[in-house]
Amino acid sequence: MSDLRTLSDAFRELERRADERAEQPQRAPARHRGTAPLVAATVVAVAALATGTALLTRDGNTPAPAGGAAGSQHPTHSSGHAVTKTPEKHRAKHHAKATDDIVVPKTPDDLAAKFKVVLGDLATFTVTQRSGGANKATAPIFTPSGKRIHQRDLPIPTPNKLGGDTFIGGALTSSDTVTGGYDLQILQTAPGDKAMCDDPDLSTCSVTELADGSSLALGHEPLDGAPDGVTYEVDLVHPDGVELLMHVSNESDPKGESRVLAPKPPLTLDQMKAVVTSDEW
Amino acid sequence: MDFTDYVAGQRPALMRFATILTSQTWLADDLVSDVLGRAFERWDRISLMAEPNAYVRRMIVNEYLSWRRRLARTVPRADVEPNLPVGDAAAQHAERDAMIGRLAQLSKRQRAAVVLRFYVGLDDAGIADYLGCAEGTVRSLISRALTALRLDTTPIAYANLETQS
Repeated sequence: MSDLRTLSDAFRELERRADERAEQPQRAPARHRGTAPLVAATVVAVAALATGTALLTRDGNTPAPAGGAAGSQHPTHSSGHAVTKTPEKHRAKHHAKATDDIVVPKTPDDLAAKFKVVLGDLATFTVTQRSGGANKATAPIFTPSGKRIHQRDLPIPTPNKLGGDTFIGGALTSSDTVTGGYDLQILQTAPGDKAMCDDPDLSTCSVTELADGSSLALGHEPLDGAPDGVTYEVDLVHPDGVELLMHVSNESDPKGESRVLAPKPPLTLDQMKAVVTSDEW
Repeated sequence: MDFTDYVAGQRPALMRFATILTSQTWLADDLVSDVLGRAFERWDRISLMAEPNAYVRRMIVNEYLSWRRRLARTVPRADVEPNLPVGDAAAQHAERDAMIGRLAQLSKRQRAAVVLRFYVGLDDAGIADYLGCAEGTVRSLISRALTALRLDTTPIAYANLETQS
């Protein structure tokens, strides 16, 4: 048994490491670079909020709602955001392909284009957050010493072999006109990794293995900041570690602390499962 | 208080807190940068609060507990300590590092409860408020965490801890 002095020692050692880190340039180790695009995406989103500057949608030429957070305004239901395939059709061929057969989207634009095909007429979406496309952060970032650095000073790390942890987020509107926030990420984890919920402790999380050896996690969790806020999550990890992670919420931001847009998220967990296991990927 | 002044004054303490929460300095960097970016966005309101720092620290806990995939997937490995001590110090450091390793193995909520109790010094009610759960849940979280940490809590050790912090 240890006593609390050991715990205190552990805390002080971690403090020392934090202080040591504060003296180094901010840089994630190579094996963790994938985090940076997410951070960058958040930063970019913050910038959009702070400045009112619209970010590009997936096709790169349609502006998002000016000054709005992801999903803070309803997306335009243009034909450009929908194709004709139905989710029922997708369900009929829901045998997840071996990853070798998957053309992994390497850019947010690729991911959005593929997402559009997979969604079919299940929903339309806008893209107001994205990884990769910008190679500079566009919102305040701080050095360990608290110095504010501006966008021109912060390079985004080099993408990994899949082209980075490709990430998009924004607003998603179902065919029955329910709108909420979403995000979708494709990333490379270690081969053999299993799917997991963001909070594996939640009783609402279930993890199953699919016939092709993929691991699938489904769950939902309440959000902070609003009594009715909820985010549904689905995570699919192929045997070789290629992972599709998707969140859909009834708030404008699936991370919470944002505006509740609807009583329920625009997609059900079954529909989200259909999306990530679609053979259209 | 101006946001820049706040960051200059509090970022080191927030980094320490986040590092203890995550075991990993690079993750703490991510957490703190992300949270400060969001705090900047709403600083007009936060700065008017009685305890802005407590609010920002709560944001860090919320972010840590929220769905950030990277945290869930990478937390079990704490940063490696490269300096190898010798003799008695080696044994002491080994015990300390083993504790850091066991901390990293806790679930996020257990770990947050332990940090809020033994690092921040909150009582059950305060922790329950942070975590959005009942006080009984807090006691359960801490009890299970202490078992996993193989930690013997005694009044004397409590006193030591308080004088060292």
